[in-house]
Amino acid sequence: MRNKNKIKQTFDAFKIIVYSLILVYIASMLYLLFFGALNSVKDWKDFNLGNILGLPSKEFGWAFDNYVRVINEFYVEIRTKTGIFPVYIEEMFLNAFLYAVSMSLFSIATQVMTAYAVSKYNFRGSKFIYMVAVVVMLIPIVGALPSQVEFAHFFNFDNSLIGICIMNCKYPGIYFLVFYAAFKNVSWTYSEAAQIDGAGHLKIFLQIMLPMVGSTIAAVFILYFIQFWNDYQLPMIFLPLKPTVSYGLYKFQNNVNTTMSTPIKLCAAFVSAVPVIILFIAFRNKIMGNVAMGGIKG
Amino acid sequence: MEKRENILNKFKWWLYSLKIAVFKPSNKEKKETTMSAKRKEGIFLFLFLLFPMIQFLIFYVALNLNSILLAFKTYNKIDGTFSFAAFTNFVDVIRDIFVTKKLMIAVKNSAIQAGLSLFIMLPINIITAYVVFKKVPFAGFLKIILFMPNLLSSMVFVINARVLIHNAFPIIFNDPSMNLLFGEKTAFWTVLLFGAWMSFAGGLVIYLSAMCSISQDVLEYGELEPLSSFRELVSIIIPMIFPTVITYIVVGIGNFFINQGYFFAFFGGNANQYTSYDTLGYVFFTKVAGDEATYSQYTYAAAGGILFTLIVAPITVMTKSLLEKYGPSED
Repeated sequence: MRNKNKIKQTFDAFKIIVYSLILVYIASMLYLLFFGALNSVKDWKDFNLGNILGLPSKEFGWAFDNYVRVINEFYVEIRTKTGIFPVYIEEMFLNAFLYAVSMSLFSIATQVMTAYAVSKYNFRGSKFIYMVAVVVMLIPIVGALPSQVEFAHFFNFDNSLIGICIMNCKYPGIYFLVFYAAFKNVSWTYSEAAQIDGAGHLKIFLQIMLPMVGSTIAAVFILYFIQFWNDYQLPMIFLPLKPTVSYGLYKFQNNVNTTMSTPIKLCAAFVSAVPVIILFIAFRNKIMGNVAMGGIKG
Repeated sequence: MEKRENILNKFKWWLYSLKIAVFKPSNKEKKETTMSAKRKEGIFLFLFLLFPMIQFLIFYVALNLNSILLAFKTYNKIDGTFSFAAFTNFVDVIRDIFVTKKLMIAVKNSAIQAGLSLFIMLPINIITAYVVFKKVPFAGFLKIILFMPNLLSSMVFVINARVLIHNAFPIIFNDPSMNLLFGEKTAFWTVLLFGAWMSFAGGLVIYLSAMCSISQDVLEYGELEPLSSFRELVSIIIPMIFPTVITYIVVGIGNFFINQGYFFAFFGGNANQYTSYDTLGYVFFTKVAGDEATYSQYTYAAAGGILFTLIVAPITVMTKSLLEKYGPSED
């Protein structure tokens, strides 16, 4: 009753207008996804004959087998010195998984290590390292991509997953501040107690401090994973011989010569989203809760 | 008997004192122990920070220094070498903006894009987050759906939207000649509006978290007054989350030169072509990553990047300090 009154009391014209707009927006988003999903289960002839807005016609029926066909028909051609080879969806999934996991781990490792050292040890340069992170985030450097490509050639990092991870895992970033805040909130008393028991610095970090910020690390890992899974530009530039599923989608969406039908393209788009949707459903509360903490601190 | 025990006790104490005297760590040893602890800490920190610092020095500091050097070079296609070119690349970029006007469309489109993002989408983002924050009906569900553009790859939305706009819109609007995506005059606005639609709830999680951190007392004060929703948003919520808003404004200004929008996702790009939907971010990205991109465009792109950084860096810092000084405060 009390809650009802509260909602009634605060639901004025402004909020009603904005709420209505949000509902319209959500309806448009759900419609777009529904539209895509519906067309993904149409026969390509049905689609090409102009049945775009309706349900699949009786003549052709529902083409759920498009989701099976996508395994054979969704591929990207890569050019190597020895010729042109197709890379199929399962390999793109594997590449995307390895890319997302490696990039996430490398990025988290550098940020966690630096944040821990700067937040827990008072040494010469600790404040400077922190300040550099803030300045790098504040002042945007435009157009470093050509130099990055040159560096990749110089270090022979082209098509090297580990090389690209090393090149892109710099410590300044919003999540550095998140980890910094997380470590600051952990009391140093635990470490002192461990030191009395004879634990070394590394042992304290690995066995005491890291588990204390475990939930934050897990949340950031999931967010990074989603970000890198969806990234198509870095793999396009630096890993063209190891196409990820997002890069594959980009490639055939812009390839006019492809023989793939539109329903199959839509199938591929939805299939590519399955892992991140599962990840999000499984860890929804973890992501929301821990990002909230990072947001305030950042 | 008692006397004997006393003597024995005295002897034990003497032995103990002797042991302390012999084995007691001297001041020097104490110092050495402290030094060794300090040294251990130093070694640990050195090894711990070695990789992050070397990585940063090479792939950020040296990489950006190389970017500056690249801007002063030119690429010789015949022998595949770089040579010193003084300010030629900078002159080329400035000439393409003001004389040949190849980049003028990109400058204009970038300004429209930045204006839309800063003056229309940013307030919409804050208002949307505020309404979700006020626990309207189905707030949890709204939050999940509004988070979708961050969750799914932009390519998923682009492929769906492309089919909808290109194949379905002519049927919906009963205009078979409708060609919003590939029309010379409509391509930019179509993709721009798609980008605005995608960023409707941008920064939702961060704004929500900032709003959640506002003290309950402050919010209750607003309810007691009583303030209308709009008044509460303007007088209480925005001043309380203003540091977060500043961050988004600063990032938005920086994005003027780097925001590609969804143009590359929709159209791909060619390093040698200029189009009606060019933005600065899109043009300079395609110079490196687009079709037919070669080293000869790298030096031009590097010069453009440095020129734009020189413009945007002071504006960003100045805007931040002005907003911090004159923007709404928590008081």
